[in-house]
Amino acid sequence: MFFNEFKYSLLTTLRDRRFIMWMILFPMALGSLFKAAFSDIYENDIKFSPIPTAIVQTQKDDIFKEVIRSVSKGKDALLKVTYADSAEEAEKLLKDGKVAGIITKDGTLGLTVASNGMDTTILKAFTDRYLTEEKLIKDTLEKDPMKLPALTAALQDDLKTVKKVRLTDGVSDPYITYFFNLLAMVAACSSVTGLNVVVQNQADQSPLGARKGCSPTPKLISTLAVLAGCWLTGMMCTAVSVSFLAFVLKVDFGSRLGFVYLAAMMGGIMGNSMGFMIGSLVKGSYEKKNAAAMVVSLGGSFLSGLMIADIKPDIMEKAPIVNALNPNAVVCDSFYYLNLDAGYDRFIGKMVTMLVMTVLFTAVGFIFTRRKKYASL
Amino acid sequence: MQVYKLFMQILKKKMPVAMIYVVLFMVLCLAFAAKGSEETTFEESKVSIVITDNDNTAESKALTEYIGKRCRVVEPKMPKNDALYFNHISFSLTINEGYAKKLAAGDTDDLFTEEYVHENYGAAYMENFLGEYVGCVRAAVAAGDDMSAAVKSAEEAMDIDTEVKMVSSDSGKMNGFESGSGFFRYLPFILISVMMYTLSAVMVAINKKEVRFRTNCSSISPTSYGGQLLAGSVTFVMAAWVLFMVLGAFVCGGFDGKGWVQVLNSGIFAVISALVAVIVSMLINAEQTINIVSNVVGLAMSFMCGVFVPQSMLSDGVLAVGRFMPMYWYTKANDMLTGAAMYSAGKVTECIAVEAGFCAALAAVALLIFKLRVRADN
Repeated sequence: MFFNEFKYSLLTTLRDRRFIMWMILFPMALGSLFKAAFSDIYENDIKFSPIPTAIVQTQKDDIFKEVIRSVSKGKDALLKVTYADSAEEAEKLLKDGKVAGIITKDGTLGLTVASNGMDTTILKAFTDRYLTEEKLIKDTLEKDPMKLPALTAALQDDLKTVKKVRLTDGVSDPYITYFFNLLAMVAACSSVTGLNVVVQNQADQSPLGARKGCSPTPKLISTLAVLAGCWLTGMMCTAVSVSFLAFVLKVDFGSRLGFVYLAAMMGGIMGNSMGFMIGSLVKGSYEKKNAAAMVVSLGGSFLSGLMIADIKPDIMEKAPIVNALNPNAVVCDSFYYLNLDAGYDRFIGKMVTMLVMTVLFTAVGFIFTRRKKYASL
Repeated sequence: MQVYKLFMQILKKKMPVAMIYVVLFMVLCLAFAAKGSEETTFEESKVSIVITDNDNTAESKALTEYIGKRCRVVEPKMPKNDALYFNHISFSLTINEGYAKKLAAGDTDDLFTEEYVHENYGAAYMENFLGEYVGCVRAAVAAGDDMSAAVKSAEEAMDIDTEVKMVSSDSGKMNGFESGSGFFRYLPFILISVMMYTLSAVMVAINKKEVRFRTNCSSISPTSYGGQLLAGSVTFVMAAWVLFMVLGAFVCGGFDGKGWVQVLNSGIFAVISALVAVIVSMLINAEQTINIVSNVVGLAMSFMCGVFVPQSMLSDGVLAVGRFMPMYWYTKANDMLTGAAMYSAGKVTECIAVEAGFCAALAAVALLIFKLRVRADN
């Protein structure tokens, strides 16, 4: 009996082609958009690259020229230099956004910028450093000129004071979390399918529910079969989404793609169970249940950083409990930990959380849909 | 006005569901405004840094104290790799054991360890800063100072400030804002979502096959029918928009000169949102599906037009597509009004005029689709 119900539940869900199509098209459309919008942001705006700078030098100064040359060469270059013939030409480059600032060397060193930001702060740090070293040389010249050679030698040394240790082998681009959030939203939107479990089994919700209410099949078996059908649909939708992102859009999920599929499908199951719970808790029309499901999935998406990525670290720091209880954040974090961590500890923690949430949502759903009696239908 | 009255009656019936969405988006709106308002107090960039002092000497403490004057030393409550990944901290510095001894001996290799997830501008700044600090201390020692005097003179020397001149630019990022702050920045996403979620419930009821066929038999002309539906939608939209503007006045503490232009900008966009909602609900007549379509349309437009990610950070290709959407022009005008881009009254007017053009075009498309459907039904 279970498999019979399961089969027809699956067929019913799959025959709602428009819904399935949109469930699959939704991540494809947004994923393609994210790929187009975010593919260059990391390289252009977050990852450090030499700062485009215009140089206006009205006085001959070989030391200054040598300093500029040394900071603009090699793979660790700080500046990408353009020499301008006049202040007007440099200002035009600045106003057109082609350079971040203008360093002017006449009697003294000056800096012109058009905005405050990390790039212009670095430019100021560079000019400050130049003036600092100039001051040290002047002071030494005044106090003890004999020490000048030692001082200039000390200043000219190319120092390697910092040893760098990379904390992850995963993808460093923080914008990849938008794709994680997208998959989490697909999982949460599966809750709309989960609502059907209640609608299809409650006698006061649909003619099908009324017929089922009269049938001799135990309600537990019938509901479980429909729910299992929805789980399978949810798993399918999330698996297709991961495949599209990984193989068509070439989103880099790292070397553990199998686990990404696992987490996404588990998320799909959890989303369906969440819909089942919402459907059983919210009394009234399908519209109300649907509205409640959208409130939960949209609110969850917002809190896990789909709309504003900065929300996520803020919540991680100030209210970690919200992150731990938000189903969208749990799904998103499972991908995130898989990407960032070398080990599996935190990933397994999130998978267990998804499993516990699925059991809890399903149990609540069953509790609130069982033993219903109707005076008339 | 029978259709208009019918629209209002259905809306009244659907009001509890509509209110769920209105309240949800009002809460989201407040959350967005709270998040966005941080950008209004922009100051000169300070690197957020975590310091671990493994040397624990007078020299290392002096360095820690000096870094504290120039940077924002923080202690994140989340794991260090998470904080670095999300740019919550820009630099994780460890002052290695033996720092003071090595510095006194003139050995400057690997005095510090930097843990990083990605190479950002903050890290570049700090590497330059540490190089400068160590270089100055070495130079002072070379000039004859002892260690404590060298540290002091290095700090004094590094307190020099370059004179910085600020000019205005057409290239955006004015005053450090990457995009308009606060309430109005995220409003288009809220408006288009709230309109699509709420209006679709009414439109799905009106567009039911049986109801539509009955209406088609009546004496009312398709143009009048479509016009009244649009009028009903616009009435609802204006009511919802007024609600949001009251909320906006509360959040922003009233509106000033440019604030009123933002109000006008959002009013036109509210009507556009309603028209988009009407068109989508005429094309997709199933409530289960329409919510997902609403998600796609709202999120896609917001990402492409610079609502969630500032226009200055989007690629030219994305912006070229965004130009064909009204939200792009809303955001462009809003950026100018909030100081995120160079203000020009003419350009703001141009953006609002383009939005008004979209309004007229969408209304024409809505009526056309409606007429085509009537013809197809016949």
